[in-house]
Amino acid sequence: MISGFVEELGAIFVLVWKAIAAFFKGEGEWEGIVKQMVSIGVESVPVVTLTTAFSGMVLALNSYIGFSRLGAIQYTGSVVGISLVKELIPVLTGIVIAGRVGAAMAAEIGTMKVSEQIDALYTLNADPISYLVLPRIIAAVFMVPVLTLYGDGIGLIGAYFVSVVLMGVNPSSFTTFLFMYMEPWDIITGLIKALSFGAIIAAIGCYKGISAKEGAEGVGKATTSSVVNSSITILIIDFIWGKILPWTLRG
Amino acid sequence: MDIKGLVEVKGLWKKFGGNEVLRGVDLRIMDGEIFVVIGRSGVGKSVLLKNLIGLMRPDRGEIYYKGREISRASQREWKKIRKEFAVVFQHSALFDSMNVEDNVEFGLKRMTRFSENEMRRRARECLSMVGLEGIENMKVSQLSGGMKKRVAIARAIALSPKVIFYDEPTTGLDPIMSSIITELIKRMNREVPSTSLIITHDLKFTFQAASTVAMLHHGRIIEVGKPEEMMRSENPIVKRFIEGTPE
Ligand SMILES: Nc1ncnc2c1ncn2[C@@H]1O[C@H](COP(=O)(O)OP(=O)(O)OP(=O)(O)O)[C@@H](O)[C@H]1O
Ligand SMILES: [Mg+2]
Repeated sequence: MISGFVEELGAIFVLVWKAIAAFFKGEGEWEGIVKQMVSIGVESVPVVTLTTAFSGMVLALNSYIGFSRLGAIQYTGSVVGISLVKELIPVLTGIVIAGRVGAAMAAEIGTMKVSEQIDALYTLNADPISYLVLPRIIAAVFMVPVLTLYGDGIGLIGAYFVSVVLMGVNPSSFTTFLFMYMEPWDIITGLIKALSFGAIIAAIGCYKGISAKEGAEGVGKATTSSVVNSSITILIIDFIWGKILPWTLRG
Repeated sequence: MDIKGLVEVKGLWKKFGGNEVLRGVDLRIMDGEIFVVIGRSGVGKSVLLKNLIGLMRPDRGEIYYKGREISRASQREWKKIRKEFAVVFQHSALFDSMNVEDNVEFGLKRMTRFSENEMRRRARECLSMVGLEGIENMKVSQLSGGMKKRVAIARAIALSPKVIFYDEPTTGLDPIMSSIITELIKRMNREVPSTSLIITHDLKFTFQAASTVAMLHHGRIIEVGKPEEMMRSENPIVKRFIEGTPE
């Protein structure tokens, strides 16, 4: 089990490495990238909107309750803002995209694998790494941060709505404390995380697809395990980022 | 060593773990012929094919194409070789994210300098050669199994290949569609013109289309000959296979 995991991790790194090499050798094939960006970005907007709006609202509600016990409800915005943009929105966006997009990548590429379309690509001189994997990784690395930034906005609107409209926190003290304590760096931290989540989702989705075993069952397994694996990896990487980012990039 | 065949295989070995699938396969395929490899299910026909088209590397042995050893060729050399090789896969392997025309044009796009118009004209020409007209814009998912096979053949001939490889071209088709595909393969062999290498366990197809038949058994070629010679073979394994008698 452990050795299988290490082997798989190695294989995923090899895949990513090959994709990076193909990128720098100028072998990338970009005809499909717009479609990928649309499918990752535009089509994820509804689910990202819902997820981030509600997480902003729930977090605001609980923070409000906590602060009201301390008699400091005006601080609600500050804590909510930092938690949302640094942690919650990037991680939730990542996990939601892993479920939508990572799964779709594994299913699509897995189907191509078991129906010999990957073999057909080789015989027609199209390298599956340059043709399938690289554009997906690039599209995800670009679109997950974009969605996260959008989610930040939605999450904050949700938090504002609950705090100010429902709970009656003073609007100007909400925004004042929000912007007084939340720094641009908090948002950037979240976006850097999101970028790495994008890479993880696409790399695992593509890898699971390419290594899918014969038959419809193989594709099903590839799909499920891509979601499980990338969700867990996102949570682990998020923790590691939490440890590294403060001292490497900020000094 | 004299290499007379257009494609020639010498002492090919391939194993997976402890499973020795190919144990010294020898083949000589002459220019222009329809060479059919028969053998029971699971005997390693697809593995043999994958070695020939560079999707797998043999553990031992050589594969010659036009007198040159190709099994150890670099990726770059394979890119050149693949311009002269075409493969029709068992399940057709059409790209289902594209329509019919884009499938047929796929190889043209990356291996020729054709203009959009030239590609479209060539795609239509190939589709009409396989008896399909007016389906350029159809999606792959809208095609029947027989149509998919014919589109796959159209995609394969688009680059006027020297050698066309077919993996079980008639498996899973109804008898009439089988006959249509059989005739089509013979016609493509003449008209492209090309050499055909086909792996199958369909005997009706084999005796209608083959110029040479080879039987793969337990990792080796145990008999080669013209179809009539195979029919009269004294080899008990060949006899049993042709008559369809169980062990
Ligand atoms: N990539 C692989 N890894 C491990 N074993 C493999 C691989 N490909 C094929 N084999 C094994 O090689 C053997 C031959 O398989 P192959 O698909 O070539 O048979 P076949 O003659 O084409 O059969 P069929 O007529 O059913 O298509 C089988 O035992 C199979 O398990
Ligand atoms: Mg087979």
